[in-house]
Order: sequence, then structure tokens, then C-alpha cells
Amino acid sequence: MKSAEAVEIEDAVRAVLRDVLGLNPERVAAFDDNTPLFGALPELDSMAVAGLLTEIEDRLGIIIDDDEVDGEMLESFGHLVGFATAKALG
Amino acid sequence: MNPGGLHWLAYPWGGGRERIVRIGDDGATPLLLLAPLLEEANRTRHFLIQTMHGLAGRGFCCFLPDLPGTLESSVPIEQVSWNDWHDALACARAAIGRPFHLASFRGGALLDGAVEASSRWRLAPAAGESLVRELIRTKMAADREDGQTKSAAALEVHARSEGLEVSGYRLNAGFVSGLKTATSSAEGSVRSLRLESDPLPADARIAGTPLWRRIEPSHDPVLSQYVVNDIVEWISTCANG
Repeated sequence: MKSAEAVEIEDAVRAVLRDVLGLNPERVAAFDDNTPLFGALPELDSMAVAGLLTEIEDRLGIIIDDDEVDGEMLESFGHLVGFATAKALG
Repeated sequence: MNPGGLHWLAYPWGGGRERIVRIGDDGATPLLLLAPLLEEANRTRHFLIQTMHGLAGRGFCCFLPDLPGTLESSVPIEQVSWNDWHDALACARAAIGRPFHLASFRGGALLDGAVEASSRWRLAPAAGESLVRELIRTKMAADREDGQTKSAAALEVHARSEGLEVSGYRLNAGFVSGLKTATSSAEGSVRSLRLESDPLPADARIAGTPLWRRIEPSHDPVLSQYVVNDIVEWISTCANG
């Protein structure tokens, strides 16, 4: 089972996807670890990536090094949450 | 006249003219709005215009200038320096011709110290450094799609020596350097509002969507109404205090 902190981080990432990409809340609520993101969501293009990362930084109080960002991190919801959780909980 | 009526005026700049959108009655309290910068201005345009209509209904005459190189401007952005935007606002101020209050949004707050104003209200003011970081971040994501992988540091060095082309904007090197070191002025009466999701210091926090980060232009009527009420209250406090 996920810790309370991990659940909070996952919720924050969901909220950022909703707010930055303008996705329907029900649709975002249904995302699971395997939901593909980059390449699968037309809303998530290279222009959106910057806002998405910055908003995640703000909400989780973390700093994302741009040189660490790669295709894999944005591949699926699970990968993105995993990256954010590792950063936030160290 | 309908207080929500929309008019255009112009201010002279660089041998040409730039546009100012005006919403509100002639005799109403003048308020100059400074929009977020570059792509963020497009994302928040509808929100700003609706907020101006709301303020016009509460006794304000709102002015929203186009900065050279943006929106309807005929000047190419690549010819614009960061200081040109300060100069342009001084020209816009002369065109408005009477003292006003200021409301700035995001990067607009980096310019609000360039003009004399009775008070300064800000929503989610952004430092130049963080705006440049986001521009570099956007450029990196676009480059990655094209199979190029330059480091963020290398991209920034290049941007500050050769300029930066990102999201359809060709920014010259001087502009990028000027923006990078720009900070907002703390002088005079200043109030800053931030969204609850934003950890930076603020005088008050509000719930709302960060429209400036949303990829498609969007609106948040609740946030707009809150902004109208907060500006009305703040300026009335300034006028009485």
C-alpha cells in the first residue's frame, strides 16, 4: 500500500495534469500507472512540458533538473508520479 | 455609455503606434493592466479582458497596452530589447494622460516599476530568472522532439549570446539577458496575490487555475471575480489610507 505522502504526490500530479493540460477531471481521475502520457495525449506537446514540470515543482516544493528529464519520465502516469515521488521523498 | 464598452487607443512608439485596449467610462478611476509576458499573454487574454469588464462595472476605466513586438504590434519581437518595454510603458502612460493605479500579472510585474503609479497590485508575480528558465525548458522539450540534446546550461549560454527562438518568438540575446536579471520593484504601495498552489511569499492566497501555464487559452470566472473584488478593495484602502 502507498504511504499517505505518496498518495498526496500522486494527487498533486493528477491536479497538475488537469490544470495545465485542461483535461477533464473524470478522465484524469481514471489514470493509472500504465496510462500513457507523452505521445498518447495530444494535449501534452513540447510546449506543455515546461509548464507541467514547473507547476509540479511549485506544488511539491522540488527542483527538477532539466537535464534529468527524458522521454521515459513522461512515458506514462506511473513514470511521472514515480519521478516526482523520488524527488519529493528523496 | 455602457461601462463595459471596449475602445482602442494608441501610443506612439519607435516611429509607429502601439495599441491600448480601453474598457470603462471616461470619468472612472484609471487602472493600467500589465499582462503576463510572451506566450503567457495569449493564454490569459480572455481572462484579462473579462476581468477588465468586471472592473469597469465597479467604477474603473481599464487600460491594457500591447507591448512592442507582441499581439497587434507591427514591430518584430527580435528587434525589441528588454528596456524597450520600459520605454514603451512610459509612452503608454503619457497617452493615458492622467494618474492611474496598476494591476500586473506574472511577468508584467517586472515592468510595473517603470511607470509612476498610485499603487501596484500583482497576481502571481514572476521573477525574470524563472521566466527564462521556463523558456529554456520549453526550448529543451522542443529540441528533444527533434532529437537534439543540449544541456539547459548550454542552451542558456547560447540564448544570452545569440538569442533564443522558442514557441514562435525570436528573442534577441539582449532581451534574454535583460529578462533574466529583471526583478519587480518593492517601492510604494504594493499588494501581491498568489494561487494556493504557489509556495512563494504573498499578501494573500486564492484558489484558482494557473491559466498562464495552460496550453490552450482558457478562463476561470471565479478567479476573475475574486481578482476584481480584491483590486476594488485594495485600491479603496489605498485611496483612504
